[in-house]
Amino acid sequence: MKIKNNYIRNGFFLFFTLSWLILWVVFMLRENKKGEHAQLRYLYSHSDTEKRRYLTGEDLYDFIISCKAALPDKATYNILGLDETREVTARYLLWPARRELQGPDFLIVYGNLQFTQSGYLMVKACKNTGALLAREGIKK
Amino acid sequence: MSFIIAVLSIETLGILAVLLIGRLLKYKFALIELFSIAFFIGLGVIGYLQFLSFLLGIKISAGLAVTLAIAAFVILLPGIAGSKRYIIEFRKPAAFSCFEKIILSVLFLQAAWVIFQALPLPINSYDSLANFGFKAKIFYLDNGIPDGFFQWNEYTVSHPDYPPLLPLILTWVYYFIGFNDLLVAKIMPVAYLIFLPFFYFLLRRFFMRIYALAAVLVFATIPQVSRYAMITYADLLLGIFVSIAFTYFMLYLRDKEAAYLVFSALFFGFSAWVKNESLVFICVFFLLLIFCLGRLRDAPRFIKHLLLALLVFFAASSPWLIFKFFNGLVNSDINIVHLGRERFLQNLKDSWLVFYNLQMEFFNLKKWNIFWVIVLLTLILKRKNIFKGLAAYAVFFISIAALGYFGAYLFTTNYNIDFYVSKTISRFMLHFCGLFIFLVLYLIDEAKIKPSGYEEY
Repeated sequence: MKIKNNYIRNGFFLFFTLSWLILWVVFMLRENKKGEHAQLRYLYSHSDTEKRRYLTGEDLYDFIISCKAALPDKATYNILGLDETREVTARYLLWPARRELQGPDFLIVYGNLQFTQSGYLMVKACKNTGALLAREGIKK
Repeated sequence: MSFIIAVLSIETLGILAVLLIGRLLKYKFALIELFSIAFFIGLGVIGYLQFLSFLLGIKISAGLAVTLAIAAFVILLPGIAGSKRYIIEFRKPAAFSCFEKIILSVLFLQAAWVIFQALPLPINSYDSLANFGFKAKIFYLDNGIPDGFFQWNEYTVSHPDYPPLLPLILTWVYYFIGFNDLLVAKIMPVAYLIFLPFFYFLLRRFFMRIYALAAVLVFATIPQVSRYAMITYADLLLGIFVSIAFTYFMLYLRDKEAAYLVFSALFFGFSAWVKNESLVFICVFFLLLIFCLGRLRDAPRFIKHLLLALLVFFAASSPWLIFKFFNGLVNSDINIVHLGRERFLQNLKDSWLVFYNLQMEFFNLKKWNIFWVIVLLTLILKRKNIFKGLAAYAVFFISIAALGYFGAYLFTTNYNIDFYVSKTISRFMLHFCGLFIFLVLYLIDEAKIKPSGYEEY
């Protein structure tokens, strides 16, 4: 066969492009370790809220949303008991309530139902997940 | 539908800006170039407008955003009638070879796969939420950037000092779609899909079609690139802006057309709004520009082109850079004031970790990312050519920028260097992908197009 194209003669180019294509096919078809294909199946078969619950973690999502319902707009809060990643998610979901470290209107405590702090009263406890406390004198 | 209108509004504002530039520079666009460059300039423009409104104390509402887009469209209408002057006539391309058809098919499949994976994903990963999604929610609910936002505490919002373009882009889309963090996240796949033909177009100005197509295929299927196209991270956006700016700069170095320099400076300017790392590329750009212009021994051109680049760059970036400077916004991770001699020496001692993590990116094939292996092999096999022609400038640009990144690691303060390197190096390498693709193609495409005047450089 007469080879006309420059790129066919460029073995270097051809070898890497073909290798790249083969790897692309293999990894496209292969289920990855993090189970992203299974995650996709789940996400496609559930509502938007369920998608957010699933990706946030159902317990945390339900807890934060129930706390948010009890917080007035523009309230300030501090949140305890979460690692940095989940704490950022909580801040995101709770906005426009704003996180303050000093003297917040509310304390949101994840994973500890018995938490007490002087000057704060229990507003509600969510089953097995956490508690919402309000500063004395704050209108709920 | 509302999301498509939001994208069209960005495109409309972008086309308005692009046709204005085209008119000033008497530059003719190819159709692909016009629509794709308009989108990315449009992204810069909506960020710019929103930031100016913050500086002027004007609140932005959905109504105002829509009015702006409609006004841009109305202004554009007479321009569209006369737009033939700015557009290169479309010519039917030569028939695609079998191999090219395979590459095109894979590209379409890849694009479809990225869309399929991105569609059900809301903004959810850590940085997407902390740095971009959260800020966009704040800006949207407050009808713009709240007063004093950039001085807020870290525990209220993470890194308020970060460049605000991506949150502002998301905010703009919210004005059209309402608060929907599932739909807004689709702006990244849109940027990815628009960039692919644009990158092809830019590479095609240098290389044979098959090489340009294969390069776009490689870029599109680099696992990190396609992953970052599905989630809302600024790294892909910076990678795109820097790739566009760099390729236009290479076009300028080859053809010496002022229009290319303007586009390059414009995208470097907009990249300052995306991530702080852009400052490294911006410095190298001006350094290399001064060097190349100096070599021409043409004083009027030296002054004219350098001033042009500076003017365009500052016009694009100054509101943010000046605001940042005068408000003392300092990155919490790189703060010279907190550095001290001991910490710097410790960083220097631990700097081997940068190289350790770097080699892991090259040789850890778990992610099937053989891209860096290809780059390394190309540099070894084509070592005789790496200091010839434009390749020398590309090598210089990439090397100095990489040194800049390395230097930045030495100035980190909050955590130890291992923390920063392991968390960031693979993302940072994404910023260089487009640049390395250009260099690799330049080295392997021996039939590359060489217009007259090229040898001068």
